Amino acid sequence: MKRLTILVALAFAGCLQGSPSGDIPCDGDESCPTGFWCGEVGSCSELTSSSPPVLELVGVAQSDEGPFQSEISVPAGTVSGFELKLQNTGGSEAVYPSITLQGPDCLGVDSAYFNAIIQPGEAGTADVEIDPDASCTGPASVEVTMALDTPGATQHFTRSFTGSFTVNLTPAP
Amino acid sequence: MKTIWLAATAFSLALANPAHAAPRHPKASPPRSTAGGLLGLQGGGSGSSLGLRSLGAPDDLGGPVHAPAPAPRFRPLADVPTSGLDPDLQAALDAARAQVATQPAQAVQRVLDLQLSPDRFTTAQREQLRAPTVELLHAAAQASRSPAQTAQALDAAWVLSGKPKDPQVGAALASYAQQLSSPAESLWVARRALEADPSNALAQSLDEKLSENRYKTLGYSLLGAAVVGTVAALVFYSLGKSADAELTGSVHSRAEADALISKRKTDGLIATVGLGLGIGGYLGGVGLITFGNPHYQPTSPANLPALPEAR
Repeated sequence: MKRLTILVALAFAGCLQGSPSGDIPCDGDESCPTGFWCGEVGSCSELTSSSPPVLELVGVAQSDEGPFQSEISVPAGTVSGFELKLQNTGGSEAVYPSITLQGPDCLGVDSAYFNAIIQPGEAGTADVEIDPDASCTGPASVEVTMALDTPGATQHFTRSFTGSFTVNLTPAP
Repeated sequence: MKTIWLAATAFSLALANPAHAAPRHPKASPPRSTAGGLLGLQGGGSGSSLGLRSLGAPDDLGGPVHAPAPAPRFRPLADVPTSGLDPDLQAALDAARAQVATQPAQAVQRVLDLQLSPDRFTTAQREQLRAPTVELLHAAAQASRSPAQTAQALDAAWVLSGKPKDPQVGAALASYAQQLSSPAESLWVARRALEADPSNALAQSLDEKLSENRYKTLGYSLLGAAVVGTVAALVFYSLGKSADAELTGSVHSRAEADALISKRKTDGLIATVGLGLGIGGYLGGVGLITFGNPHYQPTSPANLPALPEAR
């Protein structure tokens, strides 16, 4: 009888001391309590048990082999392709990140779609094309926005990361 | 007190004429100081005496036997003398008086022995013994340096006086009760003190301490706290659950969510403390009320009661 009483008391007391009884809905990290982050399905998760994905721009390179650097040289007036490398330094997988490049209009950079999942601690590359005008002069800075959407969430929200690289233009051949 | 009567001449008379050795009549009144009527040898021991009383006149000794046998010329001793006390009792009292200042315990024992003697002569003179004995016992109580002896002397005097209300006896017994190491004996003496003086505060306090549950009030307080704690637990548990429902019901700003989380934890903590108080208070209260009663059986110490109650 005494043991049962103690068990009931502990159960009763534990109800309000631990995690909430249900999921806390969210539409972004800012709608979660301190110490929580907003997960893919639109509910808050505690940072002590998991952490969100974090995308970093490692660099750009002429080919998959690298080396990936913060600068790339392309000839003006010519369509060139190059590789853009992303690293997931967070604690959860980055699902189908979308990549938006923004630079001078004459640079002719396009957005890219990364059709893959980057696991935590791993990296991935995306093919990007650049079509600078012949009149375009460098160097020019390109802003990279890497976004992760939450299609499974009750209310969609986007987790965004930014980076940049420099394009050096060489005279048209 | 043992009194041994030797019929010194009865033996020879009985040899000559057994009819002379008739038993003494208890109600007869013999002359107590006539020649040959009484020969008393007082013993020296406390409360004891050795009495040698002749049953015939000296001229009866060794004389020729005549027929028919004459009626006996002695009469049985009366239980109570016509005035005063028997010499042996008086001597015992005097001896006790002589001792009372220096040896009060022995003096008390001497007079108590007189009171407790089954001897019929002593028993019959108890009424005459009462006043001087009470006086002597009070003197012994004053002279005594031991609380036990004081209590014994005053208790005996109190019983002999018919157990009237007596604050002095109550105080002495209460003081003695306080010094006894055995709770059972202390309880008995405290109640004895209350019998002598129902208003004695020390005796009342001792009686309550040794026979009443000192933890009863605390026990009921704990039960009250248990009720308050349980109610608080239920109320704050409900409040915490409300905050929980609000937190999980819709999207909030971080500040709102933090506030709800904080409220939920605070309510939960209060509910937990309340529940602990409820369970602990209930168990503690019931335990104190149930098991807090002292179970001392009043037991008289060896020196009390100094005299039997029914006298």
